[in-house]
Formats: sequence, structure tokens, C-alpha cells
Amino acid sequence: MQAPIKDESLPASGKEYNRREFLKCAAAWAGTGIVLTAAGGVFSSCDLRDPGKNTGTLSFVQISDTHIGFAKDPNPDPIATLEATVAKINALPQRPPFVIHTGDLSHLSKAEEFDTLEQILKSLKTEKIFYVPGEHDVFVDQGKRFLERFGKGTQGAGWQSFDYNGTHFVGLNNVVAASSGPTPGSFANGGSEGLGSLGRDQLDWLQKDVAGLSASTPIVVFTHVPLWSVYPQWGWGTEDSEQALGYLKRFGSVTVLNGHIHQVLQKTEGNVTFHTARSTAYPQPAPGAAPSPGPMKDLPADRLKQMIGLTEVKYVETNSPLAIIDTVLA
Amino acid sequence: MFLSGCGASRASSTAKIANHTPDEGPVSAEIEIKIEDYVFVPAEATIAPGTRVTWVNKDEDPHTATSTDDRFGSDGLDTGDKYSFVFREKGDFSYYCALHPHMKGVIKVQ
Repeated sequence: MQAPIKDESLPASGKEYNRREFLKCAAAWAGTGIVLTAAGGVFSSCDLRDPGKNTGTLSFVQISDTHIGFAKDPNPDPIATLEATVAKINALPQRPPFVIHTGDLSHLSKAEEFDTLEQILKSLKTEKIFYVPGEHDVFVDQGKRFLERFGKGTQGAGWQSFDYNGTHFVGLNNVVAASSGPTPGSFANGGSEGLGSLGRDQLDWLQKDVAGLSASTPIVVFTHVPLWSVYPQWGWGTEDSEQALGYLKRFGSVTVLNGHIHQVLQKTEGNVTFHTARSTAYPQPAPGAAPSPGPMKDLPADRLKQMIGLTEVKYVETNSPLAIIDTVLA
Repeated sequence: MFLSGCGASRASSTAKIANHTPDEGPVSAEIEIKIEDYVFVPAEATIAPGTRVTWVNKDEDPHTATSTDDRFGSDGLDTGDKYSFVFREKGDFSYYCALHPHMKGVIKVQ
């Protein structure tokens, strides 16, 4: 692992953040990426033209929704786009100590899809990869294959936590069945309306997991389905997320990273920043912009590569402690 | 991919949720249920015992036809994939899509 960094590069202990404004980043999405930096508790955004100039002291990378097994428009070859993503990560000026995959590794939970993903990610230049499942990874076999391959060291249905350089990371599985779902007790069915669900056992674990931490400890939560209500009509939310966020309310800095909706969206609420990542495979429409949330089919190849990619998160050694950088493949 | 099953049976080559032997009994009728725009069409189907029901996924996203009581259930159905099941017993059999649980349907065998 990378040598520990100085604590002062992290958000100041006990710092009180103002309510952060909702970010309207649409103009930047069509560019090569976005840099989000925090200054005085308020995030601002700008185009990312040269990621090489952003040299943070702690950085890690998030990838999401690789959907290995998908082979239709607008991307008949998600293997190639994942390989291109890996090449981008390996070319970063600062080698990430770890990479987080926020779910939907596979498209249909097939063993060969998991094999392919594992093989491609072996070439990532990083120490470790942390995974949480998406519904595509668990819906066929109750998550058995996923947990066998990618759930080592996790608890329950695949949740986990770890500390790195003073930051507490929590990986949550919110594709577990809810009591309101059609088959309570099974795995991957979510809530009654297709929303994500954490379940009582995981919520109890989370409450205990963060109970002993100082309120000044920066928290990073990573999970698949958004923990905020992006668009419930398409299942883009988690029905019991309020309880989870309640346990995190006392912390001065909480960053929630997720995938599932295949596009960059961000909002802040109190001290919590929510950020959804692009897929490495294909984009989905903006909330409510299409009859259904299926893949955006009719995209030219050059446009596709502007709508898929990776996310890099940095604690920058300046007065702006946190930066979330979304980089597209084009 | 074409899966078939019957009664408490399912095609053994692709069945991953349960291990039953394939039903090779007689089929009296056939109906097709389309999965389109995240809806089972028709969502409610009334059939006679011995009818083979075939679900066809017309969407770009994968879906399943999964029984709420584990009586039958498909693997993930990609675009164009089919799954069949022969209903021999009378009763109402509810099912849903395991990827999109708000998608629900019922087969009424009378």
C-alpha cells in the first residue's frame, strides 16, 4: 500500500460545512470530464482538460457497470471499452492504491462473464480491488457466484468496511431483498417497486461499524444503487437509505459513490455528497428522458466514448481537500 | 437461448435456480407472453391445464420470469431469449422479473 499521507491533506477535523448547492454539471459532461473540488464546503466544477496536472496525495479510482456479456448497441464490445478504461487508469500520474467497482460487473451473472472481468482487471496497476454487487450480478443465483469470487473478506451478503489514511470506507450491498419485495428472504429482488434495499441486518451492522468513529473522520460509502432518490419510477433509489444516512449524519464529511444509472449526477445534502459514476459499457438516458431506462442505442462510436468512463477521487494537498474527477474514454 | 420446463420442471442444461428434470409430457395448447418496455404482455393470462407458456424478451435489457413460490423461473433472458413452462395444475401462479421486481404477472390455470 502507498505510504500514509499527512492528516492535514484531509478535511479539517470538526470542520463545519455549509449546505452545498446542487451542482449543475450538464455542460461539462459533454467535455473530457469534470473536476469537482471543495473549497469552504461548497463544491465548484470545471472541465477536466489535463488530468495529469491534478496530483493529489491520496487518490483512488471508481469503475462501475462494466456489464461484461452485454453485446448490443450502442456498444457491441464492452470488453474493449473496459480494457481502454484499464489503460487509462494504468496511465494515471499517481498509481491508485486501490480501485472500487460499484457493481454490475456482469450482464447476466454468467460464470464466463465473471471470468472475463477478472482476467481484464488483473492488469490493473493497483494493490487491491473492492467490489460491491449490482443486481445483474446476483439475480440468477442469489449472489452465490459473485460472493464466491468477489466477496472474500466481506460480511453478510457482501458488505465491508476498511480504513485508509484516516478515511473510513464502507461498501454496502443494496441489491438485497427487502421485506416489501415479491419474495422476502431471497436475494437481489430489491424492494416492492424495484428500488434498492439494504435490509435490517446490514443497517444494524452499519450502525455498529461507525459507532466508535470520531465525527471528524471522513467517510466514503460505495454501493451500487443511488442512496438518494434519483428517479424512483425507474427504481433509481434505495428504499431504506434514510436509515443508513441517519447513522452518518454526525460526520463532517460523507461522500457516497454509486453506479447503476450509467451517467454522472451529483448532489449535496448537508455534509453528504452523492456522486453517481458512468458505466464503462453503455450510457442510460437521463431520468425520465425516455420511456424506459434501457441502453441509449443510437449513438455514434465517438459519442459513446464521451459517455462512458471512470471516476477518480482525490484528497488534494491544497486548500481544496476533495476532488472527484470523471474521465471519459474519448 | 431457449429454455423449457414443465410442472415443477425446468430444462436441466441451463437451469441454475433449481434442479428438476425436464417435463416431456403432452402439451394441449401454447401461448406467448411478450416482455416489452418493462411490462409482461399480457400481464394476466388465463389458460387450461397442460398449456405451455413461453415468455419472449423483446427489450434491450435482460429480464426474468420468476415464480413467487419457486415453482418455475427463467435464467436471465437477454434480448430475443425465450423461456417456457408447462402448467399442469390449476391455480393462480404469480411471477415477476428478478431484475425489475415492479414487473409482475399472473398465470391463471382453470
